[in-house]
Amino acid sequence: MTTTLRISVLAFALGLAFALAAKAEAVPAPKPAAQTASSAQPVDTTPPSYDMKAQSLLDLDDLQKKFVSLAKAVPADKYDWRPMPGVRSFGEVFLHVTGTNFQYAHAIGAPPIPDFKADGYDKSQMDKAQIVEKLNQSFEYTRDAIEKMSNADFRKPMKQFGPDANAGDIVYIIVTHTHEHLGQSIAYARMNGIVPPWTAEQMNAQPKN
Amino acid sequence: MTKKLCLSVSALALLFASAVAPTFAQAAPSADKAFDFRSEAIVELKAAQDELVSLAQAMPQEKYTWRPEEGVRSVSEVYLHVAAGNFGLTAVAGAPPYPGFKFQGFEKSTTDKAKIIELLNQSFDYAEKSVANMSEADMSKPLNFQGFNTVGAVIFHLVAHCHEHLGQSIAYARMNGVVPPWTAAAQAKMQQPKPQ
Repeated sequence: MTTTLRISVLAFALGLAFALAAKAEAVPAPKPAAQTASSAQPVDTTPPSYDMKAQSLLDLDDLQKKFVSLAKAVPADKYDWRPMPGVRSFGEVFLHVTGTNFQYAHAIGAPPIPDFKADGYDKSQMDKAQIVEKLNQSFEYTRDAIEKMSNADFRKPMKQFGPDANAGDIVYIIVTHTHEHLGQSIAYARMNGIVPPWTAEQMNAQPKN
Repeated sequence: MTKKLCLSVSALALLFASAVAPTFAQAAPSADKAFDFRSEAIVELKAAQDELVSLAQAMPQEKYTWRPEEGVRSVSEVYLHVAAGNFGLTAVAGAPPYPGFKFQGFEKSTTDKAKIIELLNQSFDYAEKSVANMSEADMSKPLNFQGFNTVGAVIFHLVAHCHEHLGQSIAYARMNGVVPPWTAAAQAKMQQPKPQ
């Protein structure tokens, strides 16, 4: 039903999406788990029942708050910091997430962002305030695109990403992609002695003995 | 229908500590559910497993105790935290508990590279098989765990949790001069001379 989209999605992020053939890999048929009492499991004919739209909107709202607060907490003079040469800097990670949000949201139906060019976007010349603003805008833009989808739209075919790909797959990849780079950004912050603001809040809220 | 959940890292700890659940905003329910979420969740779990396990293999044993600063998880603790999340959250979603798994102290239970890789693989295999054994109808089954109110919400969080700590682990690797194996492979491929 769904496909492994990672190769085609990576190509998309590189601005090559429609030039490369997607590699599709079918999800293996469910196998009975060793811990399951019944080994003879009937074929699942139940319809999808999960509210992906609501959950993805909620999760992206949380991701936006964390990402934007972390971007604000990183001092401007650290935006060029990177763990080693050849790896994205703080600012480039934030712009990578921003650019990917713009592209994916457009893929699922949002209008194109004026003057946005995916190629080289990570290295755009922007200061901290501009990056924070664009980052925030990209989440608003993405959530607005998902908000406008019906849940049925999640089944809409997206064949440019793979023969069995659909819009819901793209939404899910937006979520996992953002989580991955949030984890990366948190690690970057820790390496620079910056405590993520939400963690600092939790620490301050704990009673002190 | 669904609820907010992203106190990812602390959720399990809070469960096992029987702490008071935080309250989350209620998402507005959508009427027409159509997305085959369960299959896509398995795809995403396998993608995270492939990368995290290959990264764990690429990290030298002596770097397993490295951490970016005091009070933050080390390399081995992050890997075991992901494994604990896979074991724990999958059971929360209704799967039969993984035999012998105990959340308490799991993250600090070993720093042995081979053992940790084995546990990582076991935890992903267990999560993937367990989700495959659930039905589409199971995804909307109600439960009550730290703001998650359906089985699907827990599975959604399980996947997001893996990917967030994968990103963290990649940054840890880079700080130690380790290039993720899939990136190294892609770079090597790009450097190969093109056939005339």
